[in-house]
Amino acid sequence: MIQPPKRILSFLKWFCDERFHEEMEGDLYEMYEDLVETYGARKAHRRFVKAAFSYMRPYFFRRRQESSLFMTAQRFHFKIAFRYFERNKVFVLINVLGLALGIACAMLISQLIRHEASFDQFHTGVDRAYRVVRVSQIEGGDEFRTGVVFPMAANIRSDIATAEAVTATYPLWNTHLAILDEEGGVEKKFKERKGIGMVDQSFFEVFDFGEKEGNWIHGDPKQALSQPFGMVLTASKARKYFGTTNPLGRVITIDDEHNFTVTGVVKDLPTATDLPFTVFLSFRSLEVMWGDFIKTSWVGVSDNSQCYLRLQEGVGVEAFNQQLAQLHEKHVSKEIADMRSYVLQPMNEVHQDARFGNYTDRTTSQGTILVLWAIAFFVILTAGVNYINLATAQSSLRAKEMGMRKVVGSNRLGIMFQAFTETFLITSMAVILGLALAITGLPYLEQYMDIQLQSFWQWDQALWLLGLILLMTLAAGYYPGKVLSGFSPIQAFRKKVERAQEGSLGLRRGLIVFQFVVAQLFIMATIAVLLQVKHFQEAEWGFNQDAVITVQVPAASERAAVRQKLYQAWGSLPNVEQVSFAASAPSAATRAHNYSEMQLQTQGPEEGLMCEVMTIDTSFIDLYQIPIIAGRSILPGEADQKHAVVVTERLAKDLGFLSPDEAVDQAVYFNGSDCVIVGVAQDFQASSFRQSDLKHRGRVAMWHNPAGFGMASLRLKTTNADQLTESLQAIEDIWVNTYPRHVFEYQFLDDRLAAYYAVETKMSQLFRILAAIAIFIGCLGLYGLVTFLVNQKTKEIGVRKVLGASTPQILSLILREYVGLLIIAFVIASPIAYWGLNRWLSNFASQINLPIWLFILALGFSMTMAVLSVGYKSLQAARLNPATALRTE
Amino acid sequence: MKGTHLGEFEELVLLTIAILYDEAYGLAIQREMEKQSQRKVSIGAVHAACNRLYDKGFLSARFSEASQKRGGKRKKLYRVTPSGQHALTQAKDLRQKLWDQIPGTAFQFSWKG
Repeated sequence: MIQPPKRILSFLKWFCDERFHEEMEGDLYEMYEDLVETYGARKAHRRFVKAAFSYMRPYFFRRRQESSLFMTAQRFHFKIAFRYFERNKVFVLINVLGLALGIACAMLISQLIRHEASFDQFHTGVDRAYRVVRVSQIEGGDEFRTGVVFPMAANIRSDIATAEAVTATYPLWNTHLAILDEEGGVEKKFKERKGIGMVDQSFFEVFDFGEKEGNWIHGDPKQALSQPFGMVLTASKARKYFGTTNPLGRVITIDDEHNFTVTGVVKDLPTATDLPFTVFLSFRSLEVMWGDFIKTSWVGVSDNSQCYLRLQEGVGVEAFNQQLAQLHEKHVSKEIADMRSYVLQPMNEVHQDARFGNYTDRTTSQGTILVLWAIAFFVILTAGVNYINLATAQSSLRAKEMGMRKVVGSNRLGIMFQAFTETFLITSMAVILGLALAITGLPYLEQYMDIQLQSFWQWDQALWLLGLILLMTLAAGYYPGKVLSGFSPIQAFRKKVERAQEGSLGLRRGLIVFQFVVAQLFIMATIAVLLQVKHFQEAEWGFNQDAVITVQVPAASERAAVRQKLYQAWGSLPNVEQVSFAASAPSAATRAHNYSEMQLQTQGPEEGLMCEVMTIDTSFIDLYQIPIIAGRSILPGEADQKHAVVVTERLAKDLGFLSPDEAVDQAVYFNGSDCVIVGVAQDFQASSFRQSDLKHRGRVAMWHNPAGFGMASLRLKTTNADQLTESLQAIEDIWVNTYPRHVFEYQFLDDRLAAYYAVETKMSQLFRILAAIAIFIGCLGLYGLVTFLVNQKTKEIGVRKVLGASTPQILSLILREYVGLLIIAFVIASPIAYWGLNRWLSNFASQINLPIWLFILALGFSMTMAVLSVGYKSLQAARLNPATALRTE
Repeated sequence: MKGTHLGEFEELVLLTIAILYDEAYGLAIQREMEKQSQRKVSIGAVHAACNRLYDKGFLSARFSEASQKRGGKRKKLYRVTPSGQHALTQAKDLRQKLWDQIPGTAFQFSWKG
C-alpha cells in the first residue's frame, strides 16, 4: 500500500477546516498513487508536496469556533474605537506621535544600556572570571590600580591550584609593524594605535569570547603563544596585513626591533570587550625584549600589566585572595606587603568600576546606567501622561455615549474594555512608528557614539515591545476607563458631567505638573552640562598648546644618536621653532601617567609624597612656555651628573616649603635616586579635571631621562595653511629618512586636549536632543489639552466678550492656570536639579557653581514653550466673534 | 449572503463538472480541465472553486461509497444544479450578446501601422 507523506497530510488537516478534510485527503491519496505509478517515488513526492501546497489558501483555513460573546463585544469595541479615532484625528496624532517619540528614545537608550551591560559577558564561565587588581594604602586613602607585577600570572599558575586558567596581559600602543616578505624585505608597514596585546598561551582558555568550539582557525591552540615571539592574528587582521587568512610562518617586525612569527589565526572577536585586542603577541617575548626582571621583579608595577584568571568551580574569592596575599608576601618586603594588596575583581565590574579603569579607557558605572534608565522611563512616562490627560479630558464629551451603553445593558467592565481597546490601538500604532524611528536612528547613534549596537530584530526585543504595549495599555487605559465607566447614565443625560469631572481635574493638573518637572529638569541639566564643558574649554592649561604637534617616537633608549640626528634635522627646518623629546605631552587625553614618591633627604622615609613623574628633556619647559617661578629649568649636560628636578608650585608647597624659593637647591629622594630641586614651575593641568579623586593631582616632578622618551613635540612658527602643509611634509620627510620602518603620524596638541572632554561634549549634545524631545512631547500634550478646553469654553468666552472682556483678559483666563502649574513644577524641579547636578559636578576637579540664572532661564524657556503651545489656540478663541461662538450648538 | 457572480475559473469548473456528469469529483475535474484547456490546474484551486460554487448554490454534492483506493475516503461527487445551469446560460448569453455587438470592421487588422 502506497502511503503519501503522513506529515504533510496531518499538517494540511491542522490548518484546513474540518469540512474539507474528507474530500481533500481522498483526492490527495488517489493523486499520490497515480503519481508514484507514473513518476516513481522521488518525483512523486515532490509533485505531491506542490499539490498539497495548493491548499494553502485562506478559503480552506480553519474557521474560528463559534465566536464567543467576548469576541463579539471586542469586535464591537474595535469598531467604536476606529470611529472615535476618525472623528478625533488630532487626538490620535498627538498621542501616537508623542508616544512614538518617547518609545523610540527609550528603545535607543535601552540598546545603549544593553551594549554597555554586555561587555565581556559572552565568555564561557565568565561568572568565575576575575581580574587581579592592586589596592595600595597610601597617604590620603586607598589607591585602586589595575597594574600587577609582571611575574604575577606565571606565579599564580604555578603556585595556586584553584585557578583554572590564568593569563597576563600587556597592551602595546602606537606600535609600528613592518610586514616582511619571504626574503625578509619590508613589504608593507602599518601603525596600530591600539589593539596589540601581549598575552599568555592560556589567554583563550580564560576568554573564549563565546566561541565554545574554539577560536582557532589556524595554528596550534596549545602552543601558538607559548614561546617568545609567537604571534596570533584575528582573521581580519591577517587579511589586512597579508591578504590571506593563513599567513602561518610569515614574519612581522614590531617597532623596528623584534621579529614575530605568525603562529596562529583566530576568528574575529566581538567588539563589546575590555580586552580589545586583534593582534596577540606571546607574553614571554617580554623576557627577551626587556630582560629577566619580567620573571623576577615583584616591586615595579605598570598599570598596563594586568592579570586575568578563571577560578575552578566552587572556589571562594576570599579563599583565593588569601592565597594571593601569601604569594605576594613570599616575594616582597614586609613594608610593601603591608602597603599593597592584590585582590580579585569580578569580570563584570571591569567595565563598571571607574576606580580601576580598563584597556578601553571607558567605564560605565551602575549610576550612569541608572540615570539612562531613568531618562528612558521619564520620556515614555511624559508621553503616557499626555494620553491619560487627553483621554480623561475628552471623556466628558463621551458621557452620553457611555450613558447610552449602560442603558442598553453594558456594565462597567465592558466600558473599561472599550477604553483598553482604544489605548491598545494607540500604543500599538505608537510602538510600530517608534520602532521605525528607532531603527532609522540606530545607525546615527552608532556612528555618533562610535560603537556597534545590536539590531532590533531579536526575540527578546519583540517580547519587550509586546510587554510595553501591554503595560502601557493597562497603565494608560485604566484611569480614562475608570472615568468613562464611572458616569451614571442619569447624570450623563442631565448634563451634569462637569461635577463628575472635578476629581480627574486634580489628577490632570498633577500630571501636567509632572510633565513640566521632567521638561525643566532636562533643560537645567542641558544648560549645566553646556556650562561645564565651556568651563573646561576655557580653562587655562598653564602651558602654551598653540601650534604644537606631537609625534610618537620609538622608545628604545639605545637610539640616542638617531634621536639626536632627528632633533637636529627637525630643529633646522625654517618653520619649526623648537623641538623637544619627552615621555608625553604635559597633558593629553591619552597619556601614560607614571607616579613615584618624593621625600626630602632631611626627613624619614615615611614622609614621602606621591607625585607624578614627568620625563622631559632640556627644551621641554621652554617649548611649552611653562613659567618658572623660582630657580631655573633643567640645563643641557646637567642630567648626567646628578638628577635635576623641577617641581610644581603645588608639590613644593605640599613638601612643606613656605615659598617656592625655599625649595630651590633642596636635596630629595625621588624615583629611587638622589635628586636636587633646581626650579619650581607654575602649576599646570597635567591631567583631566575629571580625575578629582587623585589625591596627588597637581603634584608633578619633571626630570631628564632619555630612556623614557616616547614622544616628540614640535612648536611650529606658522599657522598659515599652505606653509603648514609644507612644513608638515618636510617634517615627515625627515622622519622617513630616520625611521624608514615606522609610519609617520602626528597630532595637534589642541586636538588631543579637546579629546579630554569628548565624553562631556557628547553628553551635552545628547542632553540637548533629549531635552528637545521631552519638551516637544509635553508641548504636544498641552496643545491637545488646550484645544479641547477652548472648544469646551467657546460659549463662556463668547458671553464674556459680549459683556466686555478684552482679548488679553480672555487670554489670561486660559493661560493663568498653566502658568501657575508651571511655577509649581519649577518649585519641585529646581531642588532636584540642584542636588543632582551638584552630585555630577563633584566628579570634576574644577567645576562651575550653578548660577541662579540657570534656573531662571529654565523657567523662562519652559514658560515660553508652554505659552507658545497654549497661546495659539487661546488667541484663536479669544478673537472669535462672540456671535459665532454663541451660535454654536 | 454570498454573491452569485460567476468567475472565469469557476465557469470552467462548472462546465467541466457538467461534462463529467456523474463522475465529477475533485481529482477527476482537475484532470479533465488540464486535458481540455492544456494548462496547469492545481488541485487546491479546483477544490476551493467547487466549494465556493456549492456555497453559491450552483452545485449539489453527495458522497460515493467508500473504497480501498482513496485511503478509505469517500469521493465527493458534484452535479450542476438548475441555478448553476442558469448561471452558465447567463454567462454564455452575455458573451454572445457582446460578440453580436462587435462591428464587423473591428477585427479587420489590415491598417498600416
